[in-house]
Amino acid sequence: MSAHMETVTGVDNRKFAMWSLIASECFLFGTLIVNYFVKRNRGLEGPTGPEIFDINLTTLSTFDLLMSSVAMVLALHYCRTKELRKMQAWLGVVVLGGAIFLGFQWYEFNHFVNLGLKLDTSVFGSAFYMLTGCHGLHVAVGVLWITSILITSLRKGEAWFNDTVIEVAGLYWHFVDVVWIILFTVVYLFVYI
Amino acid sequence: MEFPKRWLKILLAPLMFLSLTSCFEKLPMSTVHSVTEWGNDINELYLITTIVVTFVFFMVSIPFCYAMWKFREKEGDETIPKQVKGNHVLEILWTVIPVILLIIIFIPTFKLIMKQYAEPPEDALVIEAIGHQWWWEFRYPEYGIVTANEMYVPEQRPVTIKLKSADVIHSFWIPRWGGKVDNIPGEVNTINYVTPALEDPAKADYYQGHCVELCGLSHARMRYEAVVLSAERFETWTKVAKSPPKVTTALQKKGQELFMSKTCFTCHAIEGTAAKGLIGPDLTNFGDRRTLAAGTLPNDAEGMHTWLRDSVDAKPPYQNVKPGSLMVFGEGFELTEEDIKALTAYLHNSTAKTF
Amino acid sequence: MSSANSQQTGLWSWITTVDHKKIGIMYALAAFFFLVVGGAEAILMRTQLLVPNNDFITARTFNSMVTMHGTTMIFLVVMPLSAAFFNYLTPLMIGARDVAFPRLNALSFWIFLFGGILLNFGFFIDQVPRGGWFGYANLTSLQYTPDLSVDFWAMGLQVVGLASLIASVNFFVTILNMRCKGMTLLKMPMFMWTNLVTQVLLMLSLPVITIALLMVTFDRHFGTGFFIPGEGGSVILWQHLFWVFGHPEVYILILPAMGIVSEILTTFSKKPLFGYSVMVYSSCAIGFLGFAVWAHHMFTTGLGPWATTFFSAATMLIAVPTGVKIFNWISTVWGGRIRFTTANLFALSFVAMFTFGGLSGIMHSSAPIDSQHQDTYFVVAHFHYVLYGGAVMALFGGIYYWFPKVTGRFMDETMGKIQFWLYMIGFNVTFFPMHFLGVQGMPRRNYTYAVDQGWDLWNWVASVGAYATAVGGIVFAINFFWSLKKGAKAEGDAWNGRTLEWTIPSPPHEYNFGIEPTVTRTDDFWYQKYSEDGKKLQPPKPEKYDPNDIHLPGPSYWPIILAAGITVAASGFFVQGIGLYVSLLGIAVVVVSVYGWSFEEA
Repeated sequence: MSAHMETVTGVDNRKFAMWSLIASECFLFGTLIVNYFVKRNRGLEGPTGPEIFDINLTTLSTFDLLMSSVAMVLALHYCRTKELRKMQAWLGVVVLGGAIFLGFQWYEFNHFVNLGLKLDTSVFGSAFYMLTGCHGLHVAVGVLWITSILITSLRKGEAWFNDTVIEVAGLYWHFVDVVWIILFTVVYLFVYI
Repeated sequence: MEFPKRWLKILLAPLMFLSLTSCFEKLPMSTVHSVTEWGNDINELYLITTIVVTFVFFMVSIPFCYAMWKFREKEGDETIPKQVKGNHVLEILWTVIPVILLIIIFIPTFKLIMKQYAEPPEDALVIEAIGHQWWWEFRYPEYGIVTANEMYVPEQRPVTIKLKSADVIHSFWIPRWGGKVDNIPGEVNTINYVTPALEDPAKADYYQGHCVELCGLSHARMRYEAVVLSAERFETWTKVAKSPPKVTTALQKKGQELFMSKTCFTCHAIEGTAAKGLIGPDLTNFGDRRTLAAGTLPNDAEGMHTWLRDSVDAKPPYQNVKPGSLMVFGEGFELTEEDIKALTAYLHNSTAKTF
Repeated sequence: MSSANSQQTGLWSWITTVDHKKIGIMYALAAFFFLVVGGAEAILMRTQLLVPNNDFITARTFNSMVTMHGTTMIFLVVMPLSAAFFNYLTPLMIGARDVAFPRLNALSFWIFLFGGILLNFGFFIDQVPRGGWFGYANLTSLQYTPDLSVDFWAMGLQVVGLASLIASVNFFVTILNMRCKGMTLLKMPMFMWTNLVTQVLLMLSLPVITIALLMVTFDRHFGTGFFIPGEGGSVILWQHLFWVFGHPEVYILILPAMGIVSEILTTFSKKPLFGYSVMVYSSCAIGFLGFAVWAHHMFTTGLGPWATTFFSAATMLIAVPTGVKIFNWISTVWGGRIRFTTANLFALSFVAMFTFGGLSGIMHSSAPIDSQHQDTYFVVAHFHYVLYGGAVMALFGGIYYWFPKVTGRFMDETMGKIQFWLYMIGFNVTFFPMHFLGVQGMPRRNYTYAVDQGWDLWNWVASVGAYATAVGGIVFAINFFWSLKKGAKAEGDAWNGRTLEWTIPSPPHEYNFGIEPTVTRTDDFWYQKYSEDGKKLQPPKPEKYDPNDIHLPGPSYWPIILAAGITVAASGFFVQGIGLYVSLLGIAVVVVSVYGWSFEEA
């Protein structure tokens, strides 16, 4: 079965599968967000959101993730125009952006734990860590995935311009990005309302 | 052909009879022999629904059976039937008719839901029903009375029952009084009744209840009874319900001493004594109850013997009477036959004796 | 790459297969195994309830049986048996050589199988789950279930759920992307439509239970309090999350059965499905409404008047598309030439039993009535009529119907009919009296009942019926093995069928279709055989092709390794101490096999 077989809808199978997975993931994050909303005002021992959130820091990491999404778009563009170095460079930027975001999150979690909010401190904390942690896990998977695409490209050079693979990974990456924007809104910005 | 038909009749007649009687037999937890307004409302709706549903059943099954008989393949018939692909008029018809039938069910349903959630009258008697693994605690905040597994109510009086749970989810259900509502830990649900009238004012009426949410090992042994008394008797009961068992004979005295020296008092409370345990049922009025261990055994000398023996001898959760129950004596405790008699004599001699 | 000529056999070929047909067969065999397990659990329960105050099994065992019977029958019998039909038939019915992702398909099966074993692992160490298949919080918390039983249950379901999720994406893409020429969506066989809707339901409902189960595991082992009231958690939230998944799940179980029945009834009536497009729309409507009725499982939790009204109304509404289906099936049969083969008997009985179960369902849709019936045997009767008399009967019909396609031999009709009547009578004798028990107020999940309740008679009758069904099951097993060896030989078009799978030999070649088919209408195959007015036509000559030109994906052992890695990782998740290392080992296997997989030439 060749990788580029014709399909009825004209959409590549892998791309179609990614869209389906994204639909499924919407329900996954939807459930987590609902859980967070139910829990965020319950059983508050330890610090609450407004007390510990550092909106400036999180805005910065949000910006970082957004920019890595832009880099993904550029990487796909240069894959299609078959400009190897540029494609690899932008893929590198995507990976870097994702890694920096994870760094921010690592720092933020550490910081919150030091302020007394652990996973088991309060249901608010549990719901917060579960929601943002689940997103962080998705970012980590994306970073690993795009890293392996980059390695493949570095190994195979000019022979490998697989825009479907990059597009599918890009779909995933943009989705993870969009989810973060929603999380940023409902977790960090809603406390100001 | 006469022979099998007759046999069929002979076979079917008792079956028909049994199914009819089983629906109309007045069993202790029958849902169709309701005695309250709420229960009657539900059964009225149930009747309407049953009629609608039965009508639909025949509407479906008669053409279906007819089709199966009429259009069966006859031997040697190789013809191909007409390839009918659909009929819009028919399809619209059997979309619209069910909608109409459902509206017939929905309107009374809506009315009844609203009625069920209506505020209870101000003068309603408030009772707290707290589910425990696997028994029921009933509290009367107005009177400061605590009792277990038997809920005493005056006849024809609005009652509001606050449903709570001490551990896991339970569900409060007295089938002959109406529907069930869950006891949810961390939340308070309410259930409102107007208690039924007494059949004979000189007696009490007993209505069975049962926990109906899987709540652990002995979920099946979590019964209780609602006891309907006349208004005067209920008044009298509220006055004596807080008095401890009377101790008159030597045996009862011994029983009382045992109760306070063995581990009993750490879990059970008896009003007016040093026993203030909160883990097990309150035993102040124990002698007034018809059953023990939440409807598991009859509350007589023999029942007490079975219950206490099992509690001493068996290791939880492998009791025979009520697996997993916390009713256990500590390591090294022993009860002689004499002890059991004494405890029984003491606990059965409660002051409140409704009947 | 393996060429189509090299038909491999032997255990290794099954372990490494990526052929949807072999995977389908393995799904079916696994489901049969679990059917025996789940059936035995049911028989133990019925024996315990044969007489009041019975001590045949302990309360602990009984609660385990209640839990595992439900969990097994839903997740390890009906779902995989449906999956078996999906696997075997989807490419055949849409005219494709395989599914969109053959290796992912193998992965789904192996994850399912290992997950099923993990789910049942408690049996080996006497820590069998006993909180009910619905696992209501907070009975499942560490405080009230202080052993590992709930963890096996939760992680087992996670793993099985992952298998279903992967499979659902795979089949969703397959159906939409791999249909043969001319097969537009509205020309697909009905079974493919219910298949498609089922996959969508799976895709959208599984993530919800995934999160809910994860929260249970976190509550138990990482100190959170999502479902622990004392720590600010909410036990009701579990019920919402569970039923947001759990109600679509009900349609996940019944929709494939509806599709199978549609195929069987049309073939044995020699008529097309009546109102095809309405059947399609009603399947979609059922799938859509299935997400809006979850709280009818929670009418007794005190939802408040308006929520109760909404969910009552939505539940009633779902009866409309379901009713349309039933009338359309009857109209399909109407005017046909009905052949009462075993397969068709099962399909017809599906219509009858499903109607009956549906009607008692309408009774419960009214919240006040439900408040009397909830958690009594009336509900047990209701959903067994739908899921057993409905789904399971239809699946048995499907087995009798497609057995010749899969094996090239017919199943024995006499034994089939004996099994059918044993099932039909046994089933009704078991479950019809449960309506009476429900009306008489017998609660579900009670390990015993007292003598003074008056429930003896009908419990006794129900148990006897269960034994009759068990005998039926044995007849089926004998028939199955006997027919494999000695059954009458079947041609490609074994039943004078209407859909594409009957155009190819029985059993099919590994490559399914020598030349990829082209269709012009629904039931295209039928109209190649007969004209519109029923005249027999000369079938077109089969075109010549060279099997060596057909390239199929090569076998792969990565799916089974990856599945094992995932299961090992999941099983270490909840064991203190050594569990961490077990999980890390599993994750290492996962990482290695993902890379092995991606660098393997497909």
